[in-house]
Amino acid sequence: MNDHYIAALRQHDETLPQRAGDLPANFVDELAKVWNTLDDEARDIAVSCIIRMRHTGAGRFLLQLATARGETQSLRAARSLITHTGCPDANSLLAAARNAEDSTVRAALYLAAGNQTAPTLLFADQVAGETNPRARAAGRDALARLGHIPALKEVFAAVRGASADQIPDIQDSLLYIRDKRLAKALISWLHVLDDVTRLGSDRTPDMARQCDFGVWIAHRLNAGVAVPVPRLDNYPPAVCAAAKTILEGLEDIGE
Amino acid sequence: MPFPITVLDPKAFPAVKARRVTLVHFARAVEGFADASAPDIDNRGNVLRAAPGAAYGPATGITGKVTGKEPREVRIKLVRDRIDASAKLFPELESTANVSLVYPLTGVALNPADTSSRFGDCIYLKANSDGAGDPETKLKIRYGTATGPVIAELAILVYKPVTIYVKIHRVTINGPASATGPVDAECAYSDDEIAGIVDRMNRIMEPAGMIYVPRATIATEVIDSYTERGTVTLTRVGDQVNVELQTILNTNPDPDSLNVYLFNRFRDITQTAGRDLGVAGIAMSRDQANANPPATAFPGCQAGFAMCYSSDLEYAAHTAAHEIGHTLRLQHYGGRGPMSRMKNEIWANRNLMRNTVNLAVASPARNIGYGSYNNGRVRTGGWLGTKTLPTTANLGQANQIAIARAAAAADSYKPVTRS
Repeated sequence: MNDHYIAALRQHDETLPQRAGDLPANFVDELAKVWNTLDDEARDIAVSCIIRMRHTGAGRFLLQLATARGETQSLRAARSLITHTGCPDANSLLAAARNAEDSTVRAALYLAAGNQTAPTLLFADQVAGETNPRARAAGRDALARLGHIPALKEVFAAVRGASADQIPDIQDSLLYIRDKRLAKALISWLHVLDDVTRLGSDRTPDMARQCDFGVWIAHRLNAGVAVPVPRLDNYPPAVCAAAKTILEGLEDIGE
Repeated sequence: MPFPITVLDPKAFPAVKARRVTLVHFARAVEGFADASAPDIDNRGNVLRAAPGAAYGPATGITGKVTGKEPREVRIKLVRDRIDASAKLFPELESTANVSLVYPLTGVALNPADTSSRFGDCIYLKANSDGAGDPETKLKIRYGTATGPVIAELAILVYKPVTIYVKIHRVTINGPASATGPVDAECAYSDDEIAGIVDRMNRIMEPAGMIYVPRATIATEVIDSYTERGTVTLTRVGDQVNVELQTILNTNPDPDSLNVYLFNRFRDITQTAGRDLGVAGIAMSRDQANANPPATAFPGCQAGFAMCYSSDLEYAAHTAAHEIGHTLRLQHYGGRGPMSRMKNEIWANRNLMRNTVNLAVASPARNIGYGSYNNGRVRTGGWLGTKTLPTTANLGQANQIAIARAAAAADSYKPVTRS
């Protein structure tokens, strides 16, 4: 049975991931045996399959791929662990991160660890020693998600001081951390009219401004901010003013 | 004939105006459409990227080794501004851990003349590693001898290959034929044309270490009851909430690929006749998809790219690479928002993310070396920035390659999954 699926991988059958539910439980073990004989695209499709297999064996295999040297799928495997239900525990993820050469892989492993129950003091030490700025920021976000107060305060300060070009990344951070107390930092955005991203396409010049993102992200964080239309838009000044009043009433991050 | 040179401290001699004399400079080694073997160069200012040491000059990128493939040889042109062709110039790499000199070899002078296999005054390089960590080194040009003074430096970044798998959908759009100029319902792109577009997109993106690989099969999609046969109609509403466009982008997207939908044309009914067929492609990022969820009679904005037919494959590829840049979190370079804010200067006009595919006849910075489309219009360039400059407010995102690669790693081009 597995031979049939492995042959489909070799033929780059991109429909195989849609049938991941049909794959036998030992598919991952069989896949591991032939992994080195697969080309890049077959590996990509294989990872798409494993991501959809929500058991711990699949999670363990993804972690192995994440830290394998020279593996083209390492980053994809690492990122998939952020939401994989079979993800190994935080200690395994942090140990793997210590051995990961690629900073983007380490960043993904930190984010995955932030979704587990993790020992925050040890985690904080590891993040403090992180040399890559993006990986360090991911580690900080993971700690913040775990409720680590210094990390939350660091994120708060980063949000408050963000410039327009940083906003897409900051939005990712805030939606990952999902702590609505951080929405209070968005108050500083609500009067900033700098263009951030296109609302639509090249056909129309409308740009989402920093103040619009402030309102939209606060809304998505369930901070009690209402939007006049259920999408990111150029909101009128009254919406920003109303958002400011609501955000000012949010709880502060404690000590 | 030798002559004495006296170096004055400009602080001690304020009346003396400083003048920088450029002996040589690095340049893109080709004219015309993007060529992966002749990458463009980020020559904004004389600020080099930080590592591995203090140096001054431009920067360029090459793709790291891909398993099972011979790395591509790339060439960089050295232009002798104030140095005679008879002068001996020696290229040297600071480190060969990730890049190697193919020609001339270390210790051998550049040949200023073309030969049967090499272009004159070109330095040929190739990646030595897979580019893990996106390492960089410096190419130095020494004058006179292999140990002579360094007169120019170029940073070379080796980017770890990032593969973006592309799922192509050829879309048949049924609906009433236009009374004035009907097109077929069935998409006109042939398999060969599609392959040609992807090949040209890769010529643009390879210096950023990004590779587009089409999935094995091209999907055929059929959509009924559109306003006009073979056409996606664009209206006064933003394209992120345009039902016809977003219905297409939501048609059987492959969750693990960049989905590209091809059909015959867009018609922008906000434009007058004759100008209403000018839209070539529209892309939506995952950020935009998340910012425009489904609503009554609206399927939700979806990440992907929609493009109409063009027989000029370079026009189509440039459009695709630019639009896909938007799905990778790149904004316009040289001014965001309305066209009136666009700067008409050399870096913006060379940049892939300039807000037009061609340059106006009156453009003051029109001679950028990227050639013309089939209709004779001058192409904008395919360059992407790789330097991190201290301030970019005037132009836009500085290190575009880093932004796009990070976005690709975060799947910003992939469709969102909705239950």
